[in-house]
Amino acid sequence: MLDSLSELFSAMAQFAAPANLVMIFAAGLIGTVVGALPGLGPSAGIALMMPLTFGMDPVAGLSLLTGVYMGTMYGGRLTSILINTPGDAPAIVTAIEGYPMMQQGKGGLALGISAIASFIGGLFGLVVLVLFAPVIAEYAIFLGPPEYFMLMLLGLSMIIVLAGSDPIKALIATFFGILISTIGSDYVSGNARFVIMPELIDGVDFVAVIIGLYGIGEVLAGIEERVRLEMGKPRFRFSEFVPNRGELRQSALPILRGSTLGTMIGVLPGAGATIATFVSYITERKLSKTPERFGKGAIEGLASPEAANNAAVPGSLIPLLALGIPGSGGTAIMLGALVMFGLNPGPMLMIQSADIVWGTIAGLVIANFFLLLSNIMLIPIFVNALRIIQKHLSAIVLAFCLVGAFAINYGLFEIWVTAIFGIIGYMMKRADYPTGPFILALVLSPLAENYLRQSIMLGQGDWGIFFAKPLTMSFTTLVLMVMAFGVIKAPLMAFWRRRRG
Amino acid sequence: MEKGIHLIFLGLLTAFAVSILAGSQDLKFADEYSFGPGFVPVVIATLMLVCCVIQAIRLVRATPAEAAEDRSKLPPNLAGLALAIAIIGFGVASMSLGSVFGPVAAILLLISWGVTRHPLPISLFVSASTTALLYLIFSVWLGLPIT
Repeated sequence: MLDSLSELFSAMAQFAAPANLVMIFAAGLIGTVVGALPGLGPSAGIALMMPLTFGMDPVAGLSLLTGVYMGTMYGGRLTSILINTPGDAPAIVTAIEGYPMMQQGKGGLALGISAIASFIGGLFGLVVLVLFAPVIAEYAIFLGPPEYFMLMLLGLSMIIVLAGSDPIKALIATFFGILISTIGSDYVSGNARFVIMPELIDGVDFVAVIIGLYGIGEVLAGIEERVRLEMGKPRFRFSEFVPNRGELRQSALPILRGSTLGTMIGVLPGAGATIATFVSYITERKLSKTPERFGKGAIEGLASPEAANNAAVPGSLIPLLALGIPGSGGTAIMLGALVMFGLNPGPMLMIQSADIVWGTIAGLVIANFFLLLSNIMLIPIFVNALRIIQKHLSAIVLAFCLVGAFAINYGLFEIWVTAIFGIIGYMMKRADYPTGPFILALVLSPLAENYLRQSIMLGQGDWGIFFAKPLTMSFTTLVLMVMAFGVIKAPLMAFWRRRRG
Repeated sequence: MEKGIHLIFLGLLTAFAVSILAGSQDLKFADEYSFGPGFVPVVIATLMLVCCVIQAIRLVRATPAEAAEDRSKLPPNLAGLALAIAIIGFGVASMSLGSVFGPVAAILLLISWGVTRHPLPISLFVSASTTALLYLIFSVWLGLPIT
C-alpha cells in the first residue's frame, strides 16, 4: 500500500505542470456545467469530450475525461438545489432535500454542504481506489479466460437486472450492442462479418456511436420536449456557503456513511451512483431520530447522497482499472478511451502502463480539490453560464458532435454514423430503452467473445470448463443467480407491493 | 406518440436482427473444438428477435392507460424535430463539397433561428462564435486538419 502512495505522489509531481493543471481545471468546470444541464449526464460529458483527446498524450487525455466525469457529479446538484430540476439521475435525491432548503432561504448552505460532501465522498473513493485497485490487480493476473468471460457476463447481467424496471428492454439494448460490435473483421478467424462497405472493415467506430447516442440523441429529445430552464437570478454571499460548526457536526457522520456506501456500491457492476444515492438517503432516513424532517430540508438527507454520488465514481473505476471490466455506461466509455489510447485494459494495465494509470488517478485527486473550490467560489459564474448556454444548447452540442465525429477519421462516414446513432439515441430515449447496457455490450462484447472462444478452446470444445475450477464455478453460479433474480424480480416486487398494500 | 416510436424502433431492430441472421449464412457456426465467427451473431440475433416479438406483443396488448404519454407540459415540438433532422441531413450531405466548418456554421444558424426560434442577429452571433471556438479548439489548439 505504501508503494501505491509513493506511485501516486510521484505521478502528482509529474502531473503538476501548469498546462495540465489548467486543463484539469477546465475539465472540471465543463463537467460541472454539463452535469447541471438536464439530459446531459456523465456519459454525455465524456462522449462530447472524447474528440478533444485526439492527439493528446494518454495521461492528459484520460485526465480530461475523468475530470469531466467527476465534474458532472458535482454539477448535477446545482439545478437540483436551485430550481428543483435534477441535472442527472443521481441528483434526484439531492433535489428532495436541497430544494426545500433553497425555499427556506438556505440555498447557499445547501450548495456549500453538498460541495463539501461531494469533495469528501470523492476523496474517500479515491483513497479506496489507490489502496485497493493495485491489490485486486495483483490477484487478477491469476484469472484465466473462463473467469474473465464470467466476470464480463456478470457485469452485463447485473446491468440488465438493475437498469430500469423492464429487463426485456435492457436485454434488447444489450443484444443490439453485441450485434453492432460483431460488424467488422473477426480477429480470430480473419473473416469479415457484415462488411457491406469498406469503411466497416474495422467495425463501427465506438466514438462516433457514443457521440451520436448521447450528443445528437439528447439534442433531438431536447428539441422535441422544448426543455427550458428558468434559472432566475439567485444571489448568495460567500459566507452563506460555509456551514457553521453545528451544521458540520450534523453532516459529518452522514457524509462518512454516504462515502462508504457510495464506494462499495460504485464497485458493483451495474449499480452506480444513482442506486448509491437512493440507498444512502434511505439509510439516513432509517437512522434518523426525526425522520419527519426528511423531505423538508434535512441536512443529513442532502449530505449523505451527495457524498455517495461522488464516491461512486472512483469506486466504479476500481474494477475498470484493476480488471478491465466496466460496470456502467460511463466507465464503458472510459474503457473505450483506454483502448483508443492503445492501452490494454485488464490486470496487466496497472503493471504495463502504471505511469498512465497513476497519472490519471493523480489528475482525479487534483480535479477533486479544484472542484471543491470552484463549486463554492464560482457558483454565480455557473448559474450565469447555465442561463446563457441552455438557451443555445441544442445548436452548440450539435456543432460540437459533428466536428468531433469528423475528427475521428477525417471522413464523412463517421459523421453519418453519428447522425444515425443520434436518431437511434432519440428513439431509445423516447421508448425508454436504457443506453448503459447498449454501451457496455458494445465495448465488452469483442473482449468477451474472445475470452469465450479461448475458454472453449481450452476446454477442447467442452462447455463444462465453466464449472471445472472452484473459482470459475463460483463466478458461473453468481451469474446464474443474478439471471435468476432478473427473472423473478418483477413478480417478487409485485408480491411485495401487494403485501404492503 | 411513445407507442408509435417504440413500434418503429422495434421494427428497425427486428429488420437489423434479420439482416444479421441473413448475413451469417456464410459464416462458420462451430467446429469440434470451438465456435466460429457466425456463432455469436446467430445466437444473439435469434435472441433479439425473440425479445423484440415479446416486446411488440406486450406493447400492442398494453391498455391505453399503460401506454399513456406522460406529458403534463408543452405539446411535443414534432415540426421542430423533423426540421432539425432535415437540417442535419442536408448539412452533413453538403460537407462532401469539402468544408466542415462552413456547413456546421449553417447548421448552427438554422437550428438556432429556425428550430429554437431565436432572433436572427442572436442566431448569427451564436453560429459565428461557436464555429470560431470550434476552429480554435480543433484546428489551432489540437492541430487537426479540419477546414
